[in-house]
Amino acid sequence: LVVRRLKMKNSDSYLGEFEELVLLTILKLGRSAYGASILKELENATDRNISVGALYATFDRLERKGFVKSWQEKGTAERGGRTKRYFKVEGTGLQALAEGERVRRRLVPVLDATLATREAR
Amino acid sequence: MSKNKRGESDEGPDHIIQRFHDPEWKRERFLAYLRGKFPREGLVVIRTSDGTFAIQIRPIMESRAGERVPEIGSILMHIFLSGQPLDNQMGDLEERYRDKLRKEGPRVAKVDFYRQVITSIWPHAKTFAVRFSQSLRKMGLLILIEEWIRRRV
Repeated sequence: LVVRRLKMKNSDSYLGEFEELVLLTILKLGRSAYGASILKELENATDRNISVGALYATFDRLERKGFVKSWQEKGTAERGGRTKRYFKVEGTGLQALAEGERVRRRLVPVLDATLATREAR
Repeated sequence: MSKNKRGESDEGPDHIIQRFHDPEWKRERFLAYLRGKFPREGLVVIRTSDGTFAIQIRPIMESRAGERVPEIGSILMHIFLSGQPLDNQMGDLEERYRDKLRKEGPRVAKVDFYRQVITSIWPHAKTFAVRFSQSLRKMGLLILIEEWIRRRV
């Protein structure tokens, strides 16, 4: 139980690959970031099929972690009058993205060096 | 903001496009003109707080017959989801379905809609199945069925 709790505590600040992609897409879309537009943008950017269910599970997780804020707005005829859930990246979300980027920058030279060695062979 | 030859502004859906004190027959004539101009929108006459009338264009909330999402998929979503999550996800799926319908045709739109529905409800269906089997096990029914099958075989 203690190990599980520790794992949960760590996972609260940890940003998974898909979560990172979702956060970046929300940032890119700005004021027009809602479910369907995020899904479309993500599919175009990653060139893979993404399920609405998985996307909403990620939204909920990100909101629980405090990385995003969401609010409801009224729907349009295009979506049968159903409400839209809009998203905005919070400060902690930006920090988590920046931290991920910092780690990546620190590690990428290792990859570059490995690739250079292989090419030299 | 564009203005037509009558001098009224037409700002598009959900906006008040005309505010006037005209008698009812003039209002009706103007409504008929607007219905021709916006055949796919709903027109609503509202009385404003200052006693004048205003016409509002509202998007029709009912789905158009040819663009309605597949019913079985919609029912499945309603079985496994409820409340706000259902409303948000169904809205996104409807929007995506109509977009695909226009760009890639009905077949692709339908296949994509069902794929989305199945992947969306799958985790909920799995949880439901696990809980259902657990409760059955608790009641001892599974053991009884197992015993019955063993005797038969």
